[in-house]
Amino acid sequence: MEQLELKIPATLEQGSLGAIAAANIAAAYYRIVTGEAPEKDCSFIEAVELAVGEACINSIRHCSADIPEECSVSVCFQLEDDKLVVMIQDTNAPFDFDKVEPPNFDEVPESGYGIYLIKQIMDEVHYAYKDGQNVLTMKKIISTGE
Amino acid sequence: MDIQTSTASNSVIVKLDGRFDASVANDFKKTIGDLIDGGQVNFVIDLADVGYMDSTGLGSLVACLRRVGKEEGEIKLSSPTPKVRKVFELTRTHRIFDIYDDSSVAAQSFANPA
Repeated sequence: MEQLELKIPATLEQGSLGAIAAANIAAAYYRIVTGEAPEKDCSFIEAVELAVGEACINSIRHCSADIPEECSVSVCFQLEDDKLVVMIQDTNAPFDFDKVEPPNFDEVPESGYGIYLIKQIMDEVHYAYKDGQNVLTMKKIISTGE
Repeated sequence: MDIQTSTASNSVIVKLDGRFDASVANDFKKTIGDLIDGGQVNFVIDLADVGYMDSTGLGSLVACLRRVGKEEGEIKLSSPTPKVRKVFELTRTHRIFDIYDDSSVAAQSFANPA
């Protein structure tokens, strides 16, 4: 199946579109793979929505261009066997993904939950810096209930 | 996200409607901040009609909780959907908020503290 790509301008208002689109696309893929109504597994759609939302906001917040209008976030969706694969790409400065610490829950921080949430709710999460782009690849298994 | 406020006997009920995310978190903090500046310190945040909450929305709740705490006030939550409740649980912030199933019961808890 072809890859579906969205390009989102790097504003917080438009960043929410990434999550909204992800929820609807996840629902459509769920129906394609399982033949069932997406409402049968809300947890799948909700996980994809939240993970994409968090990733988009992270990209937008770390936009390093002098002119924010030059930033954009690319969100690509593709089916891979029984998994929905979502790739978030941006041209921000690279970062050490593996060294991002989970939040200090005892201190109850006001921020810093994004990557932790993504890792908790998606089945696979990978980061790479390639051709000048951060590429965050997230996968979620579409359960057929078998 | 729409924000509606109403006054209960010992608190302000803040009813949210829509997506509680990064695009509206500052508006929410400003709403609470303005009410605090006006002398209110106890709040019930009614989440019944919040269809989505991300960590930025959550962070604004935490920030407001800290602010009212300095004024010896409190924020209680009511009626989160299972989807929103899961965000609290994943971030373990359900441990720092009193969460009720009904906003009027939450408001009543300010009038009749245990």
